[in-house]
Amino acid sequence: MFVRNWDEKLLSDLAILMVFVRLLLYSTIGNVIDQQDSVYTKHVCLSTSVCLVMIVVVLSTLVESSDCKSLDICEKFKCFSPCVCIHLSLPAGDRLCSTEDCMPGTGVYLRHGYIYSSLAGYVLRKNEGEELPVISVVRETEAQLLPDVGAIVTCKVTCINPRFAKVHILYVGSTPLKDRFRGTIRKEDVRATEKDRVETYKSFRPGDIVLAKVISLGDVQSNYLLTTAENELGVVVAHSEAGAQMVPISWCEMQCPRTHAKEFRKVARVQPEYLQA
Amino acid sequence: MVCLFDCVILSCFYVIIHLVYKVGDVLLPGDVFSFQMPESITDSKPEKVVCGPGLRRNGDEVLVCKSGILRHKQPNLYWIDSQQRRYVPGKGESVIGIITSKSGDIFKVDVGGSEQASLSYLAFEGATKRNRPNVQVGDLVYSQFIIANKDMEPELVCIDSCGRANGMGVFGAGGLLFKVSLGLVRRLLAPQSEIAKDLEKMFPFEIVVGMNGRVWVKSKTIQQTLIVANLLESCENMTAQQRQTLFRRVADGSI
Repeated sequence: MFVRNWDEKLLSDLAILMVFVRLLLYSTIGNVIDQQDSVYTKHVCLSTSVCLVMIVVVLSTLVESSDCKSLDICEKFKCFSPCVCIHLSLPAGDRLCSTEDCMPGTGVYLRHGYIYSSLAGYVLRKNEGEELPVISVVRETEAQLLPDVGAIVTCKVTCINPRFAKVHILYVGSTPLKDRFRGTIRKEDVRATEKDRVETYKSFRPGDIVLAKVISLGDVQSNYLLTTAENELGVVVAHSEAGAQMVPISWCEMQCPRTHAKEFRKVARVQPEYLQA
Repeated sequence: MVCLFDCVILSCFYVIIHLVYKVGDVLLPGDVFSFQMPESITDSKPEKVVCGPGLRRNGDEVLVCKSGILRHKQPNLYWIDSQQRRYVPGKGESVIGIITSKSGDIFKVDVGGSEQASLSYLAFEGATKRNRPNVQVGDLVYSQFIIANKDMEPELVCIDSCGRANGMGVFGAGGLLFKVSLGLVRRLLAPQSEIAKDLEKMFPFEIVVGMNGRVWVKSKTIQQTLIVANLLESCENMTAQQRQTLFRRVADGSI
């Protein structure tokens, strides 16, 4: 740990630092000692100055080997010892390469001609033709796809209400999401015609898989607002009360193959090429 | 009597035994019978069979879901008559509820189901935003369900589709509320109910019967009210004859 992050620049910095501190101490304490005429005290001063410097060096390596989060510790340390603050604002984070080899991307920062990482994650090096490759650090190797306004999402109904239905968004387009986002389908957004005579119980049930479109991202507290007011949107997969998967028979009815009971849903008109036999 | 005869089928992998079921037999959940009418019964053709409560179709078979007695009504309706005391809300049923709390525009009503139903204060006859109905916590209210399913909170109203009360609303100053089984309630509410006719001969009283098993009775004196309540509770497990003898004894004044 002591030698890992050592490099020439740092060594030179510390060497200058030690000389500086020693000179300081000599100048202040030496004046006092001259009057007292004691070799012993001079040796004491020397050793104390060396000790001080070594303490400073050890602290600096400790600070350097820790990551970005302890930058505030570095800041606190700075204010306690103003005389060493010039060179001890050390960067936290692993050193990746020098600026001559790569260009900095996201999650990294530049310091003294070197690129350091500011995140804990994976290093990504992208070659972009004739320019230098771009180096960046990311937490996840795949980027999270967020539902955007106008995107078709696949969601599962969790709870229904006479006024709206709450859903969990599972897929955006054909990409599965790692976390489940929450969405709301209001009563008036269920279908395009006769919006006021919609009954949520006859359109969705808990457990249905629904294709919907995002109309709004919502505020801080509210969920995504979704709509199914198109022919291609609505319930795709639903289970009957007997537990069997139902077969759609019209835009508003589905039938259970076991009990032959019909149930009301707002059924999506799926394009034939997406249907699997 | 319509008899359904089935054969014992033995196959290499499993054994299916179809029992002989007659209308009036006691059946248990899981019993299976298929409708294969023998040719001896000439008046019933292989026609559409309607499954009533307690029966469910499973492919080509009919499964029994509730324990009870198999009943039949011409031409093709079969159902299971079951004893039950726990009420499950159903749409369109009229029930007696007890107001438990008021929150904003909604009353919470206890109907004896798994959750409390909500009743909006605008769902009374002649109620507007300014003219609020006079309903307090603890009142009895006779209302019917407009939303009652397993996925949503049940909702009640005290008006019908035209906006008239039609006998619904708050009631119950005085009188006695008690609980009976759902089967007895259905028998009381049947069009030609013998129990109701026998009771009418005794003495005048007011009665409200809710499909959730709750009955409210009020008569001129407390004693008569209690007599009616006790009679109703006791005639649940009696045959018609036992009931009539009991009523006669009470009417004569021997009890």
